[in-house]
Amino acid sequence: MAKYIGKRVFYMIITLFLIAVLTFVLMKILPGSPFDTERFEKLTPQQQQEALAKYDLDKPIYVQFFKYITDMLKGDFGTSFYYTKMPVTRVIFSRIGPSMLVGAQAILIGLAIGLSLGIIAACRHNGFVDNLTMIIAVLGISVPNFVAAALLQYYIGLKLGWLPVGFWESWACSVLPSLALCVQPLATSARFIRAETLDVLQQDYIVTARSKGMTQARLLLKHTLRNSIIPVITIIGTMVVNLLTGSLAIESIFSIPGIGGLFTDSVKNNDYNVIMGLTILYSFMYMLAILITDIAYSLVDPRIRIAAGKGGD
Amino acid sequence: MSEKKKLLEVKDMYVSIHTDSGVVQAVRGVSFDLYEVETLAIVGESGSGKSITNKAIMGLLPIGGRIDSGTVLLGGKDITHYTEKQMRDVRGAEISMIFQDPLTSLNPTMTVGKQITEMLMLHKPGMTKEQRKERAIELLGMVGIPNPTERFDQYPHQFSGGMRQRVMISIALACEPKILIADEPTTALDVTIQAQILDLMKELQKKINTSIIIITHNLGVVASVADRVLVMYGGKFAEVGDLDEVFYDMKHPYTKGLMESIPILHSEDQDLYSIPGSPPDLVKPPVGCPFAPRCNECLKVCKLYPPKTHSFSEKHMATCWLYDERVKGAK
Amino acid sequence: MMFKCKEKFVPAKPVEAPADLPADLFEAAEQNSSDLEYIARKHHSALYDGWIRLRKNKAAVICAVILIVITLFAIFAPILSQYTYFDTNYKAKLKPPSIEHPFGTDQFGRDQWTRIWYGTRISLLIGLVAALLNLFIGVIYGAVSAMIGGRVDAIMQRIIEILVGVPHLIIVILFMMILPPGVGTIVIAMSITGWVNMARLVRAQILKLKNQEFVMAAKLLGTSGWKMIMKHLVPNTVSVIVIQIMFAIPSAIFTEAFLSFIGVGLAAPKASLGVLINDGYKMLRAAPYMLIYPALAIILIMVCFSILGDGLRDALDPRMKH
Repeated sequence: MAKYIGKRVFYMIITLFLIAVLTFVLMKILPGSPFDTERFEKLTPQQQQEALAKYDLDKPIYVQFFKYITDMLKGDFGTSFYYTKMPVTRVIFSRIGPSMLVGAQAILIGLAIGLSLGIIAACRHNGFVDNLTMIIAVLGISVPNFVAAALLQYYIGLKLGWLPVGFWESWACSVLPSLALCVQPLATSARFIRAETLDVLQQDYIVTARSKGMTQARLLLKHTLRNSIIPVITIIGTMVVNLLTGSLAIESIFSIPGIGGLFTDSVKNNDYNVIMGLTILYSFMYMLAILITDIAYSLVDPRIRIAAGKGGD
Repeated sequence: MSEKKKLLEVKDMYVSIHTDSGVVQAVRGVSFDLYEVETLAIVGESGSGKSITNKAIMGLLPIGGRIDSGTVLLGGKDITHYTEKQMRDVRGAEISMIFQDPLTSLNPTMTVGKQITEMLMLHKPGMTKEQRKERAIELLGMVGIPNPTERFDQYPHQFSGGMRQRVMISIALACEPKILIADEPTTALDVTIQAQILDLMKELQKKINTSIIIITHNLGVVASVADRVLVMYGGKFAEVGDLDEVFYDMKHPYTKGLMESIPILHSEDQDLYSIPGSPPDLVKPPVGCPFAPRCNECLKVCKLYPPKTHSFSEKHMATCWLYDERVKGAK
Repeated sequence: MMFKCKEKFVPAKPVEAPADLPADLFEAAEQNSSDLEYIARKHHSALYDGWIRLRKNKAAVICAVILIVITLFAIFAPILSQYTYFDTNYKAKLKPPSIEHPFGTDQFGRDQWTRIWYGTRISLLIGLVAALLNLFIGVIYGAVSAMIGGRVDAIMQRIIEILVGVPHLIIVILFMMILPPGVGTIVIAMSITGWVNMARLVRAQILKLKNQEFVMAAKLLGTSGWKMIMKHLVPNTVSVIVIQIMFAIPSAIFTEAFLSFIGVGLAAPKASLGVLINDGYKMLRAAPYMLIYPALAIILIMVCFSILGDGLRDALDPRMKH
């Protein structure tokens, strides 16, 4: 197990390095510099040149890259150009809270409703709940989350006025964004657990369990779900990841000061260091989510956790 | 030996299974009895309805399965009309079942010990947790599993095929049911292990005084454990009788065909005999005798009407037109 | 709850043989071998079987038809329309849907009917081309990796392990930043890491088949290498690929819509569904129809692809127990 984790971490480091290189190169190819944007329009070309020199941006690329890597290893991701002089780490840190809250809520609601629907659907196969769940599942993955967000904002926020249309003044401001983001995890998890549960119900060991004479409730909880919920772990990783990227549009629509909005803003403002910092952060979170998912799966499924021992006759 | 009590009476059972490709009439009017402390073997090809009949008895039909008519009397009471709650008390406590593939028939995410104690918990509420564990370990020892105390906490995938089947037997017999239904218990096992498992079953039968219904298509298995044999074909009953009667004085052409298909180890013949053709389609079952198309003693009437049942001795019966008095040279 | 069968079935009462039967019925019957019910099925390839199964799936067929209709509209509606997607007409700005402008006009007076069908055309095109490009790269990579095996395979797999850790969308956005906006750019950007999934699937499928018994049987029987590939590996791999494409296309459309929505996609006046949704969002208070119609279009396309994809998966890869 330790060997496995070690191997995965090794790959993670390589990938992160690759991403750092890639992002760095991309930033350098980008036309324009951080100082010829709107924010700095008052600077003369000479002042811009001086600013570039101050941040070592006029030195050869490999020098810059080397400096960047060495700084990164020390935990210094440079400073933002847009938020002058503020370290990138602080900029990101100050905005990560809202994204975490909205994301966590979205996943929790999505899983709670999605898993419940999916299980009921499988138990009453071809019944009303089953058909309803399938419709919801298909719609859930077909309606882009930004469309859902826009509609929620308009009808519930604006027209009905039940919830704030945006910004970040109270917890209520997180409700609509979380609802918009929860649709995809809801649909995916419902569909997935429905398929898994239907599959488990066909298995031989369920017949054995029934032959023991237990209640339907016990059959469901102790035998069926115990087996069908394990694979659900595998999709949680990708769900988390989708939330990260989904937040880009949602935060823009609801004007939430999160890292998704930070990313899009930095792209518009050519704020190299922030972009790089965020890209590395996203990659790290992505790979971490996948790694945790894999480890969790191997711990929960006894067939993997305990390698088959000897059992001679 | 008619002093033996009848434990189970199946009368005229019809079972259908609703699938996407139509309604399969899996069982079409099967009747048989089971006496106490005997072993009844139900023999037939796949598709003959032998498995489904027994699942129907326990109310374990798959999704889409239904008992259309017929009765099953357990100790005189008709269990086909039992509520789910009543059936729960029957399953495991009065009738138990073990299945063909021990690899897939045990819950992979539950320890073996827990699967046994579960059975005890369901039907013997008086026991404490420690008592259940003790009894389970005792049972594991009884079925021949070494180091039962350690094995108690292990998972099914840590056991070999034969061991798993022993575990299944220990689960099934935990509450000492009156009837054990064994659905092809040795088919998925090595030949050497088969004999061990059958011996184990006979040994436990004596200890607990259970009756066993063993479902199989392997006549060797039948010969080694059965007291009586019931032959099924095409969802209907073909022949029933004591082991000797069916093996040496077979009446039904299908039974004859089965016997002839057993390869004899030291014979000169190089060709293996098998009954030509394949089992009938039970979505559109044939009108007459289901075996007619493959029977080499087929009469014209066999294809038109289902045959009647004829008795040859107290226990020996067969359903075949050959024994009708109108047939020239009939017995 | 779970195992009750709701349908009733009354089995036909067995026909009782009447008491008086003619004596000749008790003579031996003639048996022809045609009476023996051999399973005589026409020999179909797996793909043809799958096609038949798919045709029976009504929902999938309806969705396929809807998609074809949408594609036809996307191709022809802008051509046949009297308006173009870029002509502005300030006298007719922000008009709600009418006979003249079935989907209304936007704040520049551009006809939404034309723009939406044009946008659909662009979105479908991007989706298709991106999916095919990913398919092309992925299949070649996966097939080469699996067929050659050994060291080469190991190295190629390591590369994939590294690439898998890259968050696809982030890289796409970054590439979109540096390349000039346009359809080609989007397609290329989406292909940088989009092929990885397909490569893995193709490789897994080929490896699975390589080890299966019928390949060994074919080797024993002496089928030459190429013939073996064509007859056995290809049909089975093709079904996996087809199913994957069915899900890759809507995924690409979705990605493009997302990119355009956050402003990293196409430039005005070119439109894709994502751009139109973004425009519609900006004008939501003034003209809700500007958001609704493009949204409906993309939702409908995604739903149809989903159902069709599921239908294809069930048809080509049945896991049903009989």
